[in-house]
Amino acid sequence: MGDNTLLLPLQQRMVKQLPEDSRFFARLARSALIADDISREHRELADHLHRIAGRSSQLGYVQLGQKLSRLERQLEVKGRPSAKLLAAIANTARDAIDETLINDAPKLAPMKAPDRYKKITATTGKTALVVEDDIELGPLARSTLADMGFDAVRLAASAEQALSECYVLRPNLIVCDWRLRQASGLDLLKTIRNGGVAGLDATPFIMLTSQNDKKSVQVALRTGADDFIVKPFSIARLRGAVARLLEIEAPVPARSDKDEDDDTLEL
Amino acid sequence: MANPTVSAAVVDDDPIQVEILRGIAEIAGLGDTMDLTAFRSLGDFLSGAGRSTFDLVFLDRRLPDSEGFNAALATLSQARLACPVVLMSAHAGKDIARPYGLTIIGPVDKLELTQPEYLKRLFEQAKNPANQRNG
Repeated sequence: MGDNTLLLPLQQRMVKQLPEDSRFFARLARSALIADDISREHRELADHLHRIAGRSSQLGYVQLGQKLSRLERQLEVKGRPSAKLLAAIANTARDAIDETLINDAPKLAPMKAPDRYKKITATTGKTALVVEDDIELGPLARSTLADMGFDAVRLAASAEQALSECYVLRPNLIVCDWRLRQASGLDLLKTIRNGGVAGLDATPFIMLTSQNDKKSVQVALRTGADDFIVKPFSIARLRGAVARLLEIEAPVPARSDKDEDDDTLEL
Repeated sequence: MANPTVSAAVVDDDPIQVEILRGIAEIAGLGDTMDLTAFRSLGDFLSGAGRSTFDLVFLDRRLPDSEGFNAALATLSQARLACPVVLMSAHAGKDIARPYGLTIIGPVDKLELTQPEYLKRLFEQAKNPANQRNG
């Protein structure tokens, strides 16, 4: 069913809509946590889960459909959920969609993006891509960026996935681990800087690494990294680097901040 | 001899799902013999002219003016709907009340509705006079 050409335009429409759906769930989660009365958020969450679960299953994104369907059921079972639970369900839905965008959506189109695929892009606000295969650091970096107000933050576990995601997300920022399973973060950086994804060659790129020797730093910066953060890193260090690169308001750690001294090498 | 035309109503507020159903019907080879009309709410369906002429109604569980199958089925029963109703849901509960004299099919997982052969069988059943009530 998934590869049937009659349904392909509908699949493309659904995938094109997914980044907005992801942002919708993220907004809903935030809104639930500050609302006095969450009945509106409750209704919207139930409606949206129901809608996307149905279309996803029917258009071949069965795993996403099942996940969202389970969340819908969970919401129903709870009757009158707390704001916290409602936000958690919305955030889980966001994660499920983001995973689909990273892992499944690119299958709809070849990697060398034709024009129609380039249209699948986040159009509002800023988006970020975290490329990290560490199961703790990846989500940490992602949630840090999400807390900074990025509209969408996606997580890729490999350079290959990251490239696919770049076509879909058109990130305004890439935070990438140097050491990945197959192609390295440095390979990804080279590909990006050499125009491997049209229009993203100047995207701010932060390299994460446990290699803190001077030579590695030089290699990364000469290849085009905009910043270099040594692992393990603190949230403040990452926030500071992002804020500086994107010139957005965020608590930037002072120069005397221990983190700054720990993982920044003077060249 | 050409197959008789089946007239179906889809009561679902998601236009994409209606298009999906239409696409799958095309794939099932029902394009020329199926007349599919979409309604965004139960109210729209009930106020739609000629609703009694449908052979089959696809009903979504969650609609702007109705939540859950039981309330919607009660309303359709009061409206003396004559044709079979296909309940569309990925995870409907098992406690659906069926005392309304309606011919009810399902709940059917929406995934199952993507199978052209299943849809074909549904439409064949819909044309079976045994499944039509006289209202």
